[in-house]
Amino acid sequence: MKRKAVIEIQGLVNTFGDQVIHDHLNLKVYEGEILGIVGGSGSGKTVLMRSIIGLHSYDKGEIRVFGQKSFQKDVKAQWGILFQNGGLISSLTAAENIAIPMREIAHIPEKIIDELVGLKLNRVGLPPEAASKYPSQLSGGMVKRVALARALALDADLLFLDEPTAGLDPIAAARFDELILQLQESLNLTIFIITHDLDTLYRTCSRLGAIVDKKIFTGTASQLQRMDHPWVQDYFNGPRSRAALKSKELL
Amino acid sequence: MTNQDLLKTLKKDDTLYISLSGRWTALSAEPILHTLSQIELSGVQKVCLSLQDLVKLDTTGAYILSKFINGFKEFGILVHKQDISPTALSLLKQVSDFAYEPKRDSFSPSYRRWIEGVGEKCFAGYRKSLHFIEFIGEVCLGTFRMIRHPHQFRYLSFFGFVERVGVHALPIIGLISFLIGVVLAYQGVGQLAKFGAEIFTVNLVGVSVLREVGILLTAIVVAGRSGSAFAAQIGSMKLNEEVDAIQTFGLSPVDVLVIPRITALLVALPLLAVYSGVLGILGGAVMIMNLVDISFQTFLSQLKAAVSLSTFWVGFIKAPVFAVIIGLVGCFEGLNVKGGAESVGEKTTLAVVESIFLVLVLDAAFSILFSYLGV
Repeated sequence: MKRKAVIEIQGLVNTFGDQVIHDHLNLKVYEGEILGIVGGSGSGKTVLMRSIIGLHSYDKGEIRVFGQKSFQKDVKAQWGILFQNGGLISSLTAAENIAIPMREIAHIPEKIIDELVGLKLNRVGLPPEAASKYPSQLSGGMVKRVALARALALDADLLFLDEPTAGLDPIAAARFDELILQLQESLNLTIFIITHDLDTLYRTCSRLGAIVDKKIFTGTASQLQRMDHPWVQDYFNGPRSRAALKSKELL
Repeated sequence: MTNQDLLKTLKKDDTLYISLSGRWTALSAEPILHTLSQIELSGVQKVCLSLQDLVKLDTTGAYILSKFINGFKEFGILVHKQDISPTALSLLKQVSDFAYEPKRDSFSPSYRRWIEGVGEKCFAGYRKSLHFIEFIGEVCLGTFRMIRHPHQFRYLSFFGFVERVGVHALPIIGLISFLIGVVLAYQGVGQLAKFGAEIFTVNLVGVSVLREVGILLTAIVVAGRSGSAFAAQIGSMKLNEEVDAIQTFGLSPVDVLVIPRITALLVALPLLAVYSGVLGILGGAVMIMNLVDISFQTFLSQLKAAVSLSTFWVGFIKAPVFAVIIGLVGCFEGLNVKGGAESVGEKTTLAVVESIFLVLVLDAAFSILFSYLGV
């Protein structure tokens, strides 16, 4: 079956001064898949995501999202982004943060925005009291969930999640994984996850991409496990990875 | 988007057939709501919903739809759904599972809130004054510690701050002082010429620049440049948990962050005040020599007659006091930052406003003091 590529990256080169981060990196993300990106610290996972969404101007290469090279508002209505530190606007309450895309992009009538915000808050497991709180009054985990609710505000077709479960307790992280799977199922989302959480990786992702040696290698977990590269071997055959894999099999 | 694209209705006896089509997504929320509000329901007993032609349904669309269906039920109208895809069904179930009415904050009457607000502000002001006094005490203790153990003083950051607070402020303070001198001289010559006393413009410029304008101007520029920078730097360090980290190393944030900044100001601000005085008089000289036909020599001898060393000292003595106030307020507000990025901006503004306010109040206090002392 020929699948439609939502994101196409060709020959991406990113450098910071003398330091090369990505060297002719190629990647395709297909419609309806959950792609998990792994890589050591500083390997350029976040830079890759920022290059895709247009926040980082890359040196060379070509990136197309939904077949387009430059992103107008119609593309921005089709994606939702969860930033590593939440990226919530500090002068707005949680509810107002979630309402931003509804108001600014979709122009949803005011009378149902409140109710939709309530729905989203509830969906990500936040209590109603959280709605009127400012980001500075929320705990780290709650900030993550508000940010996720904002990313999901318009049921975007393409979701970027940068370390979504980092800083969450295991129960919340597991619930988060379930939520991602459910959403993917009911909305046929394409999800691009950067994560170090091996449980999330094995539980939710249909395909993995490992950034090593300035390039990306993709495949299923078992394919990557057999890859002959020291970092990949360490990563996927390390004790924590095996434990996570085992717990997945038990499920 | 026309209504035809979103749904078609057909009425047969007491049954209304509604067939949904198109994209029921967040982006078309407005036309969907509009279309739904126009459906004629009089005499309808039963509704048959068909989702067969639906291209896309998302949470927003599903939410509006489920609200609409619940509306039928309230009217006692039977609803029959057909041709629903499993994904649409699960979405509809999800939105009804997770729906809830957002709680509105209960509002007390406005006069009560106003009185409460006044009370809160008063108490906040009182608490802040206590904190500030406490902070001054801490800084004093820190200063004594530094005097007793001079090797603990952070010389490196002290010199760094002297450069940033003092050297980097030279161009702006120089320019402003020069221009103020020019302005004073121009106004002075204009008024004094009516008495044929243009030469006394030199006295006017000399005394006002040395006693008041030079030092005040310097203090205000430094408060704006450096007081704000102190508050912002320390504030972001506070947010970044750097201040907490410093504490866990057994160091005092006052010793590490506050004292080097205040001592740097204590050194730099008086020097800047002298510099400002010199350039202010220079600006005045240029203007006077242009407007009134006197030589630089005459200007200098008139200046010498007008100002004495005490004129200079009366102005200069204020500089260290202003320096300490600006440094204290800037650092204090910086350490008060908590919460988020917004707080940094708020405290930075407060630092500037409060330090300029205090500088002006203290300047007035000095004037009163000097008038009693007769200097």
